[in-house]
Amino acid sequence: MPDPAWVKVVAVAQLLVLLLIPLEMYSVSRSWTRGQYDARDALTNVGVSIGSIFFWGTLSWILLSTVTVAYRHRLLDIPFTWWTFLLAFVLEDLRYYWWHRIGHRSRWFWASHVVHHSSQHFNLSTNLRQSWTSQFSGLILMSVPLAWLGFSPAMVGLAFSLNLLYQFWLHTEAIDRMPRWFEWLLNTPSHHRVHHGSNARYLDANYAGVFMIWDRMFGSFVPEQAAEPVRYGIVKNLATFNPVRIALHEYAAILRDQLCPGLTLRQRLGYLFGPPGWSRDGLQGTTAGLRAAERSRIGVRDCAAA
Amino acid sequence: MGIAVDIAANLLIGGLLLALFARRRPRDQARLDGPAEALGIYRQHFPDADGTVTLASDQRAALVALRGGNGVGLVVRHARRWNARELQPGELRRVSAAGDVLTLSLSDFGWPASQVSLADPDTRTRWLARLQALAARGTDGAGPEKRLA
Repeated sequence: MPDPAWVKVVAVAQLLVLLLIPLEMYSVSRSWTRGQYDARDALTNVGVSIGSIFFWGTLSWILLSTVTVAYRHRLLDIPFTWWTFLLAFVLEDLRYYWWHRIGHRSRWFWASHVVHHSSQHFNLSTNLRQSWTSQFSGLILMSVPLAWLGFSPAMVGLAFSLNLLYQFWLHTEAIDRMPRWFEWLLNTPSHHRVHHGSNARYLDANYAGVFMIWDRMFGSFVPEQAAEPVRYGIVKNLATFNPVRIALHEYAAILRDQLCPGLTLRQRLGYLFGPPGWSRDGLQGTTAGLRAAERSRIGVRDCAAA
Repeated sequence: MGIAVDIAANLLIGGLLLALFARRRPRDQARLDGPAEALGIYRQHFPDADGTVTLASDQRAALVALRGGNGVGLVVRHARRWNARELQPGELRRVSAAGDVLTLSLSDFGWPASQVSLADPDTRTRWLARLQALAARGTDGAGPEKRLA
């Protein structure tokens, strides 16, 4: 078990970093740093955050009981030492990478995660815009393997909290680039700006939490290009400041598609679990379709087509 | 940390932001310069689009009569960004006029409505008719559910 004092330190740190939000806003308003804040957008982020905390807090028993059951049937007894914690941290980051990737590639999971991407602004307050439905999207099952392996729920929880704490500073335009070695190894604001981009080139890229090596290993790394400024948001942006609409809009869109008469079972599954933008009319709305359209516009052909 | 502490921390941050916004008063003065700028913004979202642009009287929105079909493009200001949407049959539920303002009700839960002010009566009447026809085509069930994530 990790020392409870450590858990408290991380929890307090997570609250303290929130103070960086008004600091960044003030700095941006004085033009000391790059970035943009809009009052309604930032306050909407706070509203979405309160909803997220409420649902996360009241439904956290789902995650806790799932992980506890998995730990009860663990394969190994892994003690809490510095190196086992380091291993847990790296493995937890790998879990985060795949959790995040699935959250972008399948519409059911995207419906939960899209909330975080729904602002067209990108600043530290964007951290607050989090999902309300993460406890019952089904992706919490991805927390099972580490506990089943033998890492205690407290150790995994601490690793997860540190991972989220690290990610706080990524949501900013105030920092341009870090040193090259840092940009290669770790997630940075530059990499994460790409992740929040809706430009075809930047869609579905840079899923990393802490270590950028996962994106490099699994082929999802895209660098930020000075020639193509990031357009933040989603492909089909929202025009509302209502937290309920923001949290649930993609579920409403799924329901609307499911109610469409005459769909086959395959089409219904496509609208539910296919990539975001999937349609019975084709893949033109998906990331692959949007990228193909852009390639054809700028005259780049795939090797196979050459 | 309990939920109450986390929510209190968020309320504190919200309060600090409100105080800062009230003090700094960073007003959004952005206006569309003209049809070319509106079409340029629209093309950032729909690169192959072409059409005739009607700017809103307050220059905070624009309607695009898309070439090659009856589709309508919409450009509006949201927060400090320009949003664009291609309105297909089925996406526009209803349109109503009150004074100079046309209110477009969309079937998208995340984009429920937008307003476009058109001071010129002829232009307003023409757009009202076109948008009502588009909304009616949607209720006929003629609309493809053309979706972009």
